Amino acid sequence: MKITYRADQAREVRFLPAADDVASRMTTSDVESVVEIFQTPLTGAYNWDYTEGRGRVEKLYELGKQLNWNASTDLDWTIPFSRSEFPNNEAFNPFVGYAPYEAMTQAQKVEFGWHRMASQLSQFLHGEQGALLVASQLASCAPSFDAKLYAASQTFDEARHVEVFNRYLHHRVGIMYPMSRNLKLLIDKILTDARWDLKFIGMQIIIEGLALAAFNTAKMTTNDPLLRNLVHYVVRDEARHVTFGVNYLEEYVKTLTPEQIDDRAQFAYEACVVMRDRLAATEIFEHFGWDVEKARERMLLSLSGNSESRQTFAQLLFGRVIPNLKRIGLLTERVRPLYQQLGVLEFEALPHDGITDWAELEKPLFADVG
Amino acid sequence: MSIRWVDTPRTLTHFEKPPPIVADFDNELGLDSDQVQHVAELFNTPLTGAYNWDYTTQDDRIRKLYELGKQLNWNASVDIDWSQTPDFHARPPVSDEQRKMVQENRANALFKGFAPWETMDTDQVIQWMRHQHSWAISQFLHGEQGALLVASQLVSCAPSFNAKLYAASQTFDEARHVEVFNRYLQRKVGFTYPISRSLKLLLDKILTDPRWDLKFIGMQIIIEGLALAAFNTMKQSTQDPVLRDIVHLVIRDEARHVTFGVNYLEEFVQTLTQEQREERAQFAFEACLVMRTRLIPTDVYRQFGWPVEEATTIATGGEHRQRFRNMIFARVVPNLKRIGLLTDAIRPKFEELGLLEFETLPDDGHIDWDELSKPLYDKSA
Repeated sequence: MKITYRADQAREVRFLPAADDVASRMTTSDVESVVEIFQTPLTGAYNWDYTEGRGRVEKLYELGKQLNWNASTDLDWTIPFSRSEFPNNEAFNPFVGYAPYEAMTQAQKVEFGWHRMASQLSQFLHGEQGALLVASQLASCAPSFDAKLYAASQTFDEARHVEVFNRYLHHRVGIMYPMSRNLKLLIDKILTDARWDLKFIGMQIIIEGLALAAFNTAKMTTNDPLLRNLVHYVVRDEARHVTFGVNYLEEYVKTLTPEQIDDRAQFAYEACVVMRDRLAATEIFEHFGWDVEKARERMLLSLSGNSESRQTFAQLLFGRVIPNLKRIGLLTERVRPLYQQLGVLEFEALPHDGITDWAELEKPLFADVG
Repeated sequence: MSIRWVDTPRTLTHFEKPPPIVADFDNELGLDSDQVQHVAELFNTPLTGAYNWDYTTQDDRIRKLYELGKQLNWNASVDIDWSQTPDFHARPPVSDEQRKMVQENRANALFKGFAPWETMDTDQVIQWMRHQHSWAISQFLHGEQGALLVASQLVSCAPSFNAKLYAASQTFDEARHVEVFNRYLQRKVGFTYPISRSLKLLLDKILTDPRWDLKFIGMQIIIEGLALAAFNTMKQSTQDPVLRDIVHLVIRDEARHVTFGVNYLEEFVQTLTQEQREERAQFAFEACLVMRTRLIPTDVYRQFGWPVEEATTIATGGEHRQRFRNMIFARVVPNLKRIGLLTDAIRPKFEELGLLEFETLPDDGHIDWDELSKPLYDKSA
């Protein structure tokens, strides 16, 4: 075993071995682990009441146990999909019509498509690792018995998500991108903050809320049935996670002082700002030798070209986060004007995840897999 | 919701009736309301976490253990038949036959000749046995909560990718163990004991140390190793089919956990300097020292108004008794040797405790995959 500690995360694109068989011949001592250290003071809690039978959180834990899918057995990795096909529906490609893109050969366009896919799924992968680290810290920090058990089941969910996105990238894509700077910034902030509920708000309401939107988009735009099935399973889990976050935080925030609440509200707002800018995958543009600024502009323009599509885009990002922040009591008078300036306050009236749709959360895993 | 922050409670908790079954809840009961108070105790620890950036998926032993963890994911709500015995509030009165058995066994009891024991009538002895039982299961419960907290911290701290995934599956295992022992206490026993002082001391030490591998050694080699011995004893000796099934399933998981600990630490300890290694060896020794006295239910003696010191002396006394009690280290010592923590400097100290003789017993470094992989419900073993 060899461990290399890096001051910062890797910034280069990685090309992965074609198949796992190369890796499987390695012995443990050949393996080098590349890691980056973070420090956090952790305020943990032993729970001494062990009280069972209190309702929603416990029921979510029960569902977590039941709906424990396994990437090794529940997904058909033999579904064929050619590397010479577009991985995503071109109708959703913002670069169609953009000169540097149109100058490419068909094969290059397909390759570009795989790079976009790699970039997006790499963000999912890194985001899930962040979620894994936060969820595991919640098991230590959450004061109540039901939340500790639930956080443990979520920790396991997140591990299976990291596993499945990593496997897909190795199996199908062969390329891995580093974590986007904005996402890293936010996850660093969450992971190293001493206040456990702030970790919880950042991960469970903001990052998971945004991820849910991104997953649903990926499910809609991919041409690969394997990825569609994979994301379907992941979304089932994420819906449970967001429900837990909203239900638990709604109660917990009430135990805070007004000053503490304002603190949390300000943090949530700043996290939203960081995440708004997270979409542009500049590393791809670099890789293909494009002018990074121009390509970035093009991307944002296509997403915000007219007021209608801009609104759709904003809603996609914040349509779930804002109503949930309101529900848990973090859309305070002080931060409302700030959200107003971002143009997202209007989403506060959309449905939140505080009312639990048990029928949806409970339905069997395999009900609507394509 | 309100949270009452406390020091470690020292009193028993009694339940009026078993908790409701979760599946029967009205969907919008909304019980997480203002009336609910949670009782918790704070601990602080600086945590040195690691992002892993290589995501190496080599098909090694750790990965295989993770795969088994996913497959053997039993669920206390569906895989245990809780109806095999009545819940505590519906328990039938003690039969004459049971009474007779208690009477007969009394003559060979550990406390034979001890005045407080001799003055108890048969009903009191039965009551005492129930307390002893509750105390033992309560220690399993609290120990599993400690394991849950440590395993979850390992997810952050473990540097390699496969170890992070594995630690996450173990975190979930530990949560299911906390759940199942808690449910057993609340449904079948009716009251719980607080955590024993020495177990709490060790958990505090492990949970608040900044060195992640030390948490790992303390939990995965020492506490889990001792627990495995205690669970095996419980499985053999219990008359209760529900408890036997529970412990059977828990043991399946624990065997995986110890295997992971030994295999991972064996590699990791080699990356440490000699000085760091001696530090870990010393810590492991001290942890063993603490745990040697852990199996004495002093809180039960106190509950029955016994002179605690006198009763403890009887419970620990005698060379034969000590040898018997040392047996719980039969798994810990060979594993410490295997991972390289039975250093020359520390060996004499283990020798003094009479524990060194176990070093040649089989360790968990060699993996019996057939045993670890067999189906959950093969109860022949």
